[in-house]
Amino acid sequence: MYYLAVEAIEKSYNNKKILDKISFQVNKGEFLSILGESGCGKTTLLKIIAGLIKQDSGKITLEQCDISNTLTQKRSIAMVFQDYLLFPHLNARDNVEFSLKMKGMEEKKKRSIALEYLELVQLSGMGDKYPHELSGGQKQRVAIARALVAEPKAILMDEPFSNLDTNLRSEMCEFIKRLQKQIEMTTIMVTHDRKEAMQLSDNILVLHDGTAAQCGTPAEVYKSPADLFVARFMGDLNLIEGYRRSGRFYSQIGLEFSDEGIDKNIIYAVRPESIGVSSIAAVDYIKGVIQSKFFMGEKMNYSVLVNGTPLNILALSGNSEYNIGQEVFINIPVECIMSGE
Amino acid sequence: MKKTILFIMGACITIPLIFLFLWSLTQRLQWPNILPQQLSLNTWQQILGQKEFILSLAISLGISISVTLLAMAVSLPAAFAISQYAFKGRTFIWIMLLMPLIIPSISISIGLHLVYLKWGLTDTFIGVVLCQLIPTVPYAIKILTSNFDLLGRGLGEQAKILGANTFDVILHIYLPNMKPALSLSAVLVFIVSFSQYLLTFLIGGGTIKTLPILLFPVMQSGNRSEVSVYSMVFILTAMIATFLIERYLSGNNKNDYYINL
Amino acid sequence: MDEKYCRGEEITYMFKDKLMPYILLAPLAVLFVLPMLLSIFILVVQSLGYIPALGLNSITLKYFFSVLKDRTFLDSLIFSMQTAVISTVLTIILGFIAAYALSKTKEEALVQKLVRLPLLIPHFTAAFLVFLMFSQSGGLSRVMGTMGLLHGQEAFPQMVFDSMGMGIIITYVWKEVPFAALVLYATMKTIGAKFYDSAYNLGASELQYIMNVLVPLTLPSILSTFSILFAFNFGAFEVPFLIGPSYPKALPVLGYISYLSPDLKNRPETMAVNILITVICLLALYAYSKAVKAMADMKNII
Repeated sequence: MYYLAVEAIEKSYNNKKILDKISFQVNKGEFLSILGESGCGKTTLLKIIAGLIKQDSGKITLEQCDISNTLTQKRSIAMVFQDYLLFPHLNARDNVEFSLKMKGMEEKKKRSIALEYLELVQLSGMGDKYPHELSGGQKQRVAIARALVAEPKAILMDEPFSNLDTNLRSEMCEFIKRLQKQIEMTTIMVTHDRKEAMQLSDNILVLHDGTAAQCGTPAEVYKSPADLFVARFMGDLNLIEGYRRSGRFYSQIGLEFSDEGIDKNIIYAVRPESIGVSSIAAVDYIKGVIQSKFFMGEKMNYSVLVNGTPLNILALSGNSEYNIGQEVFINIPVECIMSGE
Repeated sequence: MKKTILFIMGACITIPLIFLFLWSLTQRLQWPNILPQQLSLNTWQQILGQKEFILSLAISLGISISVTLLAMAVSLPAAFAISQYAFKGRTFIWIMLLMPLIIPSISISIGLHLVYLKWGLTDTFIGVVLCQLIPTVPYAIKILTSNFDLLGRGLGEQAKILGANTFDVILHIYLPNMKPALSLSAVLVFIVSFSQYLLTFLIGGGTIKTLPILLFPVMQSGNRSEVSVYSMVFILTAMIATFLIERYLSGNNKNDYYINL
Repeated sequence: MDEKYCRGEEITYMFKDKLMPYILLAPLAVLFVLPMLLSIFILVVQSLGYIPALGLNSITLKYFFSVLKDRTFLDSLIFSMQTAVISTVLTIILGFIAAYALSKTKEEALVQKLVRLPLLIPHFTAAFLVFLMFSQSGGLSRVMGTMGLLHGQEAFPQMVFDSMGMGIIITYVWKEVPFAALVLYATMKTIGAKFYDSAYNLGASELQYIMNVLVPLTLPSILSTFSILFAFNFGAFEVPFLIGPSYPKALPVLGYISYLSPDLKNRPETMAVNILITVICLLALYAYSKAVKAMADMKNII
């Protein structure tokens, strides 16, 4: 059975519905990311799960126990906040010890456990430092240790990387991934960054306008998006307009393939990296002209005009480079075409 | 639970005032009656009819309004200087401003009395106005400085680059953005000045009879009804003045508290 | 372009900036700083026995010593200390509780209005209100009499003009709790609210949150308010003058009566009394400055 389940959670503020029947399940030890645009209710959802905000309706179960009305102190779900919220008047070790102090644990035991966890997050020896003396990454690790020390059943993280510089971000990303796997902690992370979500998660829940648009593995959400919003959110898209007639799809750019279903106008999408490009014509390749190109490090971004429609194509930089104005041939493999609306 | 606490607080504040009001309406109330049997406006008529009373009210208002204007005129540029410039003696001025809040009023009043005696300012209207700057200016400066700090240097520097001089900057750039703080300072100065007894008594020497000066002997004589009427007039005047000042100076409806002592 | 600038000289407004603060401070300097400094100077000088007008031309500490040995002075000192400490401690505790309750409610506007009322009421009126409510023929006594708990007004304990200074304490608490609540409320709203979520999530009960997070974080504010209120309550004149006992008189009242005494021989001693009151208040100022420093540090930290 599922470890943590959320059923039909709803929440409104000022008559505006922020969360509309959100449901999902998390298995023990799983890492779930909740992905969505800024301000779409992700943090609210997290706080509801933590017990800091009361939902208007809906149920939350943890290990088959209904915790929908349990106080946050008793839920055994710890939260790491976006601003870390380390207590400024306590040093790192006292911060980590906090939940143990609230339980009334005795001094020596508290201290040794706190030091253990500081070591776990690779901050041994920093116990005496106060929050204002720590760097962003260090503060975050203290916040994580503080949440873990209470031995919660699940941990929630609110945009953990938003306050860190880019370089630090990827470091912390890896660190959290390793840690999570090491201690097998059930984790729910909220973020607006799809790359981090894909890198860290076993599953991704995409929120759109307060509803759950799709829930699936990173590959599923990326390659088989449930709708246009999810598709766009997870990466760049090329839209291919066309129509279906008598079991075949025809499009303006010249792409054709057999497509069962009712006759109607339809828009398909394909990811830039899925489109092949070559200077030599072959079967099923369509002619186009390079309009612009951008060097992006490991990739080259080409805009190719194909029968009046510009297509965005990503190719590895190591391969042959094409010039502006050059005639090329592009190939769109049928299995990479995404549908759904 | 929290509502109960606030309710008790509210009751503690309002009940005595209700009592005050009741006592102003009756000459005599036998123990253990709580409500007067007969309400009469005798005491009110008696007191409001006295020339001495009306005169003292006028003098009080005159002094307090003068003090408010003068204090604001002195405090505004000073607060701007303290907030926006780093200069020698800044700490010294800051400590000096703290003195009237910490040094007991009796000591300050005695000290000022001796100084004013030498300067010949005792027993004069202007002397009372000037000496009341001492207890009032610190409040005004603290509130205004904290507000100038909040607004920061950026605004002023921008304006200077565009050619404004310092007075323009204060009057046209900062002031319009400081209405709540201005109104709060003015109100505080007015209230502190209006409520002054000791300083006014020593410096005024009994010649300048403000309302508190008139009130103290009555308080000691023990006629509760009279004292209640005096007190009510006092409170009502203070409320009206506060209301007017806020109305005139403050643009907003909210009460922002810049209490940053 | 300014000629002076082209020639490499500093632009005029830089020069003005050096002078400008002093110009802006001129009115303050003349109307405030000067009288203050002179007052303090005269007080100190006269307390050291130097009053040429009375023929006293030597500087000596003997007046201080005679005052410190005086029974009346010491009794007044103890009395003032007592009333100041008790009233300030009570005010801070009640003010903290009120501020906390305030920070949890939603009707901010009503609450602000309510709390502003005592700020308008001067201390002497507050003293009178306490007299009205707590004297033997006052409100509380009447309520108890009506309920049959007292057989006569003499049965009500002496709470005003009493030698414990109860009336004074009640007046100060009544007048100052709203002020303390307002100041602490402002701090709680900015600092306390942030850590509410994390403390609760880590298992803190409400009381644990208050004791382990809220109090430590608002401590600088608490201390600064305590210092200011203590200094005021210790050195204030009006309330003990109106409803204080005839013995021991509060220290400021002692100073006042002594100053008004026609016997000018006592003048140095009067000054010594005043200086001593001032010194004690200045110690409170020292504590205040430490608290302000801690507050500034805290602001950097948060």
